[in-house]
Amino acid sequence: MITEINSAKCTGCGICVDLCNMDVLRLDTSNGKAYIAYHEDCMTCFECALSCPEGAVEVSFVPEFTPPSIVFPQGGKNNG
Amino acid sequence: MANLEELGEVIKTDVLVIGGGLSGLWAANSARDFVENVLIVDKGPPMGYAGEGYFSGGNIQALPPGEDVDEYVKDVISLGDGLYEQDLLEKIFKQSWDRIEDFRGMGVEFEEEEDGTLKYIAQRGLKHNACYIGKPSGAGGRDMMLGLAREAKRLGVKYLSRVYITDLIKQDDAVVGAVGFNIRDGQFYILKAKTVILATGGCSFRGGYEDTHMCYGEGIELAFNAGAELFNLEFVTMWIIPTKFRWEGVTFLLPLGAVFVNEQGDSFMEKYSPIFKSNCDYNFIARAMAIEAKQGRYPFYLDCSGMKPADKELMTPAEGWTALMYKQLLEAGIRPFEERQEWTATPWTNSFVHSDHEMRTIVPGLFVAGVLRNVDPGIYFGGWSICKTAAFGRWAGESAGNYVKSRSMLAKINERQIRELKQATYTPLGKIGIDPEEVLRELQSAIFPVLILKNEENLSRALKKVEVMKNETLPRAGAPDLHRLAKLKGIGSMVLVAELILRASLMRTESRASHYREDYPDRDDKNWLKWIMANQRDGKLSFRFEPVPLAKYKHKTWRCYSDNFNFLK
Repeated sequence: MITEINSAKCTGCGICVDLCNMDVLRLDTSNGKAYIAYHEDCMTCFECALSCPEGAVEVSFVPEFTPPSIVFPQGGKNNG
Repeated sequence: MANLEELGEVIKTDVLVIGGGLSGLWAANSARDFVENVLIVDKGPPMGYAGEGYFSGGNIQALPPGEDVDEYVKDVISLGDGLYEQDLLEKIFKQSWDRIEDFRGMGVEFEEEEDGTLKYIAQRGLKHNACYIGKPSGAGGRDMMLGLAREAKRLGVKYLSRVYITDLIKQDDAVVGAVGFNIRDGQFYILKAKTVILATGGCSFRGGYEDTHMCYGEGIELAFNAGAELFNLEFVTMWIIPTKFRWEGVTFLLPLGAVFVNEQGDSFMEKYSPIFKSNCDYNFIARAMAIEAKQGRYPFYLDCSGMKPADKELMTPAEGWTALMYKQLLEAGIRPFEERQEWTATPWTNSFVHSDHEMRTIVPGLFVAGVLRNVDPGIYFGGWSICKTAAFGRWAGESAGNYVKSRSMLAKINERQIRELKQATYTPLGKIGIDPEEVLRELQSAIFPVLILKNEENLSRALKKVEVMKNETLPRAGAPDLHRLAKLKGIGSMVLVAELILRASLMRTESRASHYREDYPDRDDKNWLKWIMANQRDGKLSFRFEPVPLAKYKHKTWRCYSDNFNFLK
């Protein structure tokens, strides 16, 4: 999941906002910088981190949300 | 039509392709051989970056040169326990090698053997099967997408991004365009077309396989609402994923010696299939996991220690997002090739739209491309999607292009119809109500527990929950902004797909391929070598059966893959 956009590093070029498949990122019109608008929809694809020319975006391999387990019985150990 | 322009931005095109992933790009490029104006519309990013294929490894199934197509077709038929359009499989395999050559022409690379021939790895324990390996490891899908996009730009294919299509427009039974809205600025679009190709991918219910998170199933709903037929709804495809991180390329780890083990280190798959063990179709792994878990034996781990060092190196992510993630894993002390990692099962992207073998649906003017066109009774093997997206994309583009020749003019569009569609589209916007994310989680909780081990009781219970969601929860949901409005529409599609899956699963009183009924654990060839077809007539859901036309097929008998498994012990 995306964890941070470093606003000191962000130049507001908009590349990450443009490339995000899930529309997680938007440009803040007040300061012209990218921000995480819809955290819950991040698909951990790393595209924003890979495409940022300033290295301002941090994405962690840890998934944002774990869907209900399809395998483990209810009440058992979840897959989180 | 000045009135139409007052309602939104009107764009005219010969061919409209909905979905800008692998199959959408193939379809658009192919349609350009026939017509001048081709427009792709996608709810996501600009050309080249949309869809799940971008994040894949770029592995592709193909018939190796000089090999017997019949043997390859027969192995796939066995995998699906006979429920296949045999002539379609043959048609796909016969052109498959040409698509590898096409990709190489675009600069896409594949792994090679020492003698310079392309390297492949057979999938799911099949004898006649070849999945060619994308290179660099972990970034092949990206290179395929960017190659197709370069070609599309050269051909002058137009592209509209961030526009979510809500409805197809019909005139005199034919599809003549689509409407939708921009998820960022709210602009309403009226796209007038001589023909429409749906290339939206399937429905993943946003499960645990994050590559497929954009697959909300909206194309299934668009096709269904337009009157197209759906089939194979009871055959959901399961995927296997690590629980703590993401992975691409497990499809090669299993044939190269990785095995699933339980807490004690026992390879539990051997119990269910002494022949295939862990190297089998994911649906059977998911089923074994579910049965083990039910008896209290979980979690499950993937153990790669049996892989050869050279194979581990070949499979180590080298570029793109997989390489960045892999670097993070090592930094966090997670070594997937050296220490066993916890894995589980999740729904993959599923689709059920039917068409003829020229990709025509039964609705005039509506064509289908990519994985949206179902082929398989739930089973899957590595590289099959990229093979099918290329084949179906090209065929859909060609068929749609030919169809346009018979339509010299754009149809006149009923302004009142558009006005009503627009009004319905924006109704949930700004409404105070249940958050779409909450609706999604409720849906997942209702259906995930009944997708692997099905029986009349659990399917009926899940269906009741889904009906409540359709009739009560969804109408009460609100969308505070445009992003959530699109998400809510997508979740509406998921709810419809869930309902259809459950209804078809209740109907099929046998077990076959990925469909497993605990109350009907045996395959019933006498009564069930047929497809359940569903469509909407006069606003009502209707089912019919279509027998597998064995009399006209080349292969009368086959081995059944599921005979190699025993889940009753």
